[in-house]
Amino acid sequence: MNDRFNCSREPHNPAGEVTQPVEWPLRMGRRSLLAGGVAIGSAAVLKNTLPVHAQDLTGTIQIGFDGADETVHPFVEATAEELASSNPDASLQVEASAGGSYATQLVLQLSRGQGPDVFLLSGVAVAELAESGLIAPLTRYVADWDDWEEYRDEFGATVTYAGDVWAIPYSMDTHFLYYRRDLFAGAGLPDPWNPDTPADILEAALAIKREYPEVIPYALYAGANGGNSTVVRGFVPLVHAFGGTLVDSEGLWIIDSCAIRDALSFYEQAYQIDQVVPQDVMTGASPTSAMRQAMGDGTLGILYDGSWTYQPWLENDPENTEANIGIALFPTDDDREPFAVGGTGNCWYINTSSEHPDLAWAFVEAFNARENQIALNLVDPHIPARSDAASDQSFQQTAFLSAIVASADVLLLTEPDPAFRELITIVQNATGIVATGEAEPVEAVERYASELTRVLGEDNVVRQTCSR
Amino acid sequence: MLALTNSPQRHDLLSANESLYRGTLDGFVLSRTSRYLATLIPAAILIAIFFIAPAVWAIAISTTPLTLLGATAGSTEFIGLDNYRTLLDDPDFLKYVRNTIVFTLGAAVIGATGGGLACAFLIDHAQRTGNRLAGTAFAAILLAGICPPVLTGAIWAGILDYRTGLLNSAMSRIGLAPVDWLGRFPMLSVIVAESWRSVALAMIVFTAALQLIPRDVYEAARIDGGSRWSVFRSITLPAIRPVGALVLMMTTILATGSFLVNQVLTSGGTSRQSETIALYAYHVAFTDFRIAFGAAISVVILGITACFALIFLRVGRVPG
Repeated sequence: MNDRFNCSREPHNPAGEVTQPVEWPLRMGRRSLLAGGVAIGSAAVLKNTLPVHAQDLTGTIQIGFDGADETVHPFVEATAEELASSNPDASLQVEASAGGSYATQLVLQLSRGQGPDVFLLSGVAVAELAESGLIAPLTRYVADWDDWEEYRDEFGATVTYAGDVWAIPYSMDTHFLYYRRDLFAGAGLPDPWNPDTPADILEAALAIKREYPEVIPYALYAGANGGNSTVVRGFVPLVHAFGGTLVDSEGLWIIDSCAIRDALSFYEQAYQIDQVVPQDVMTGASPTSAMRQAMGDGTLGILYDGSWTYQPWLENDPENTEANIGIALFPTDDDREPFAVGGTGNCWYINTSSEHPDLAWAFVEAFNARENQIALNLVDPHIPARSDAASDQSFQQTAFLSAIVASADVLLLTEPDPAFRELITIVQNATGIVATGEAEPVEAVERYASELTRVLGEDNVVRQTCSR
Repeated sequence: MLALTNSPQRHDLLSANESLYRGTLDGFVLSRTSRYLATLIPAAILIAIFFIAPAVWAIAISTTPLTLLGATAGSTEFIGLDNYRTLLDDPDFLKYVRNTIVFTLGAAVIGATGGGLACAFLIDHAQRTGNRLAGTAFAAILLAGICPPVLTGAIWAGILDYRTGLLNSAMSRIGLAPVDWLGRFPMLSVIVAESWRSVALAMIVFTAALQLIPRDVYEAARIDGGSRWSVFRSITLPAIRPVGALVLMMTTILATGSFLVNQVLTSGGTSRQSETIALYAYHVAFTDFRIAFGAAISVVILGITACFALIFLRVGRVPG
């Protein structure tokens, strides 16, 4: 569920404060996180958090979520139990999905007019689900929900489509450039490391390659095997770093620009010229898992990935993680501030076929109580979607957690667009042929342009002139 | 006699007998055919429900813009052959067709059928010579055959992975440089993995066919001074040829529609070097949720499979 597709055109807080480099070693330990998170996340936390009007509700609803997401399960159970206890005539059935492909199974159920009444899914699906008529608009509920004011406007915009709010997130995604401090020290690189430009990333990777030929200097995802990471953690940050956007101010998709050319040239430089990204980074059966493992093991120098990837490293080897894994924001090619690729995290949606939407909404409201969001995002490190949760002192107890909440000010977010799904394959193709050396960046740009035009239609795309 | 034979009276007599006989015969044939037809009805209904109806549904859906998500979700408006035009306009379509042909020839013809035949010969020979390992080898190959496709992909990913794979570990122990098998040879990797899984089916059928050949025929050929090659060419090959065509057809149909091993192992390759049409259909239908376009691709797969089947049936036809 965390491997989501999020990309953006402009940072919504361009004037926001830039996160300062995190001071290491971190003082956050596995026990403190789990103790704090789980303790707060217990059912006791939900006492007195239920909205006053969430009473005297009737009916039976099913609550669906990805069964593989073990973190969220106890929170769902606790919220459902609490709501049921204050509404004796209501029945809330918690249904964790079995097996894999949760999203596919869910969409198939919804398209048949079935599926859970209220369900958890990545925010990336908002526009498509809304256009399909498979989810109910939540605007009328949100209008009466005072807590909605605790959501930043830019966060709310990520779940707003065609004038309606369609989902309620409890977390927002953020990303960091993770780097191995031990490898950086050995290669004579600075620590803390704050690259000024994308070229600095390649320079650092080259230094690591020279000093440690056996390790992977840098993991830049390309091609099909990278999945969504090729888009979210590869192409999108580079286009923004080089001063570009994917969609222009009129909503037209940009099929060619200097930034897109620069991004694909960066791929060529990394894979073919400097060769700081070995081919197997994109050809392995599961590059994302393999690279996360390699970063934890100390066999990878630099990785751009989500905040949630830190937790498994910390749980597996707290001392090594605290001592050796540093973080930085993604740099830009000019004087703009460094940034973090963001995205709508897990959201609650209400099935348009639900016969008890009020009860479903009462669950959504209760689940997104401030205390619940604090507890959940401490256990599974993300930015709490609510500002009053993000400002809680518990997110200042460690440098990493404070870096996560601080990155909200420099988050690169996007508004929902049903065309994003189409982008995934097209970006995979363009980056893949450059990374393998099958095509020059210019040829890859032409392929990107022609595929995007073919899929979206000529009326929906625009070519920006680039003299290079 | 002759006069009678050629007389009009005899003609009338013969005609009367013939019609009487033919009427009886027709009644018998009709009655028998009706009984046969009646017994076929349940099977015909099942085939119609489970095979013909889905194919007709796929063809019908392929003429709509139906998707699971987005503006065309649930739409069954008739759009003619637009999905097929979109498929033909796809610059990678020919690559997918070529990949499918290479994959099918590699995995079904060479890997599964060729490999299965070789395994069957070895096991048949081992059984005839009383080698106790024959049963073990048979069981081992069978085990690979019942391995689920996803697990097969994971197993071969563990073998072929560049950094942690067993093959490169073994190669490094004898001083050979590691090879990025999945990156440099994605199609070969998928063919090997798919063949490994599907060789068992062919082996079982071929082993059964070989064991049906009477041993005394071989004895007689040997007594007559036939060489091993001539015995194989004159006795073994004709005996297994019809079965071979059947195996080819089965493995080809299975391979053409197979995509799970490929998905787990290479996801179609970095620049779609191993993306087959079946995998493309899966990506389109269940990743992009473009059901109608996926159905159009499935119809194309049906056509390709039919072509393969016809070729193999012709090849497998026994002369005379």
